[in-house]
Amino acid sequence: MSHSEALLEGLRQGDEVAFETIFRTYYGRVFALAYRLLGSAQEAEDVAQETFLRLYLRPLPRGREHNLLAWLLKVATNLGYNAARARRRRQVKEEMPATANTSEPDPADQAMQADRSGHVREVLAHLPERQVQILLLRHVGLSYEELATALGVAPGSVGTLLARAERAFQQRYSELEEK
Amino acid sequence: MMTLSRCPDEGMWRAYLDGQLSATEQTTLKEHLSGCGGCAETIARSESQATLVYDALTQAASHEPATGAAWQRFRTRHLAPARYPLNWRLRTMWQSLRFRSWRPALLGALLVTLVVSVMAIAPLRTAASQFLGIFRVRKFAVISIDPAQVRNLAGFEQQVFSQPQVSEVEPVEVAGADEASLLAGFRVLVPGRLPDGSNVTPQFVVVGATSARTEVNLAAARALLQMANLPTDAIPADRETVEVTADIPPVVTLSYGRGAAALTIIQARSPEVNVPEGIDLARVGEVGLQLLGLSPQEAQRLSRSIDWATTLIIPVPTDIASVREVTVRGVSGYLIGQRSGNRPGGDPDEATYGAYTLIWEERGVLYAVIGNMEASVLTEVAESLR
Repeated sequence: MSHSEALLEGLRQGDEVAFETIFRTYYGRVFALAYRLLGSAQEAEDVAQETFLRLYLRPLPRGREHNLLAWLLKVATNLGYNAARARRRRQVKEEMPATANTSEPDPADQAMQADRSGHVREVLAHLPERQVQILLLRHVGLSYEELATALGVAPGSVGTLLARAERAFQQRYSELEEK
Repeated sequence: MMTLSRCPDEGMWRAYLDGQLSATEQTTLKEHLSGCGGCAETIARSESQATLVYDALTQAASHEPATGAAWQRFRTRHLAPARYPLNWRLRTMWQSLRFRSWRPALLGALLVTLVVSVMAIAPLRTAASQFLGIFRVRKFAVISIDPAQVRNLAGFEQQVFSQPQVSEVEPVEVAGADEASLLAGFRVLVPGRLPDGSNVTPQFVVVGATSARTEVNLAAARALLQMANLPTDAIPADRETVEVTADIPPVVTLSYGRGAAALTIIQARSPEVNVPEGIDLARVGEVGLQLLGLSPQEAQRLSRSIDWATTLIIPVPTDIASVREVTVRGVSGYLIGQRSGNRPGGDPDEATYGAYTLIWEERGVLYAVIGNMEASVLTEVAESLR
């Protein structure tokens, strides 16, 4: 039994310590992914909290191997994507506000990076959800096999789906950068 | 050395770039690349796209996660102060169904209906078809409950709810999917593959649009809650009854075979339900969940995590059926597996009821495939619908 499977089994039996361990182990990566989609620490935390709540309410069933991290990241992508789309709809008539990155001291760098981040989120909010999932999950280092399991597709099709998603991303991103 | 009869596609090259092919494949593709200008272009393009995406995502501003604080907030919101047993399973889904005239405050009385009646009317087949027939939901949550609680509550639903009155509509047998689609107002799907490999034509039956109404006896509901030592503040004090009505669009049923080989496919747009205003749904839900045997804390926590306006609770006694969330046709669905033999008050006629029911929603239409066969076979039938 793998470490994460042992934790999951603890969670199924209502062991809060097991859940806390899972939370503390994976929170950073879940949050980082959500932040990449949303660009707001508050919203990213909301998404991350909801992701872990779902795991808590419905621990992954027994009987097969789970990749807990892949599952969490997939759920976070789904929630973050929906939140980003919902926000986009609300802001449809406004300019997408670029979120400042407080850790950058140079204002010019800061503005440029904020701009790029805004573009990345803008592109992600436009792509179909499946493409956003595969891009983000690959970016955080999931193997093709893990991607295939997380997305429910044949391992042999991951390359094709990824290439297609990357092309779609590049097209929109380049358009925005040229503006 | 393996050779290639034609150029690998872009997906193969993408996997090659990431080193995700087998060692043999990597070598073969590398060999091919050295002598193929077209593929050299493909891989160069693919690599430049991949690099751009990687850089863009990496450079997108990051933010330090505050894990400790986040855990404290999670605890406060969802766990503290008590330790809650995880002896129930919540499952939500069924998004994207639309209400035309749904009012959130209307669900209250209906909720008690669900909580008591769906459970008390035991057979899952009936529950599933009732579900298809009576509620328009965007999500439902399935919770496993103690069968003892089912026995405690059996019989009360008749006191709380009047016999539903449903407008009489004769089922019409039609020749095929086209005619059924015309009557139903949506495109009726037919399986491309049957479990036994046959290609027989099913019996198509369409039940036209109907309406239904039931009356909730609030005094009886109050009495029931008092007996269970539960608060009654969620039940409106200013009335004795409330009326729940539903408009039910046409329901199409495809039936194949008989007995153990019976296979039924139900397709319907979701109905609309109207419940009187002025009821605190979350509060009624919370009490209803306690009635089902959840502790006050569990009920409160679950109630707060559910959107009551759009979520149907299906309590499934653990000795009757198991419920599993599955992916079918690319969307989430539920596989409800009936346990055989020990259904309380089981009716011999139910022998033909499906061992499995697979339910999902697709483009605004609810589907149920019900059959006395392996879950994987039902899933295949569902996947072959077109």
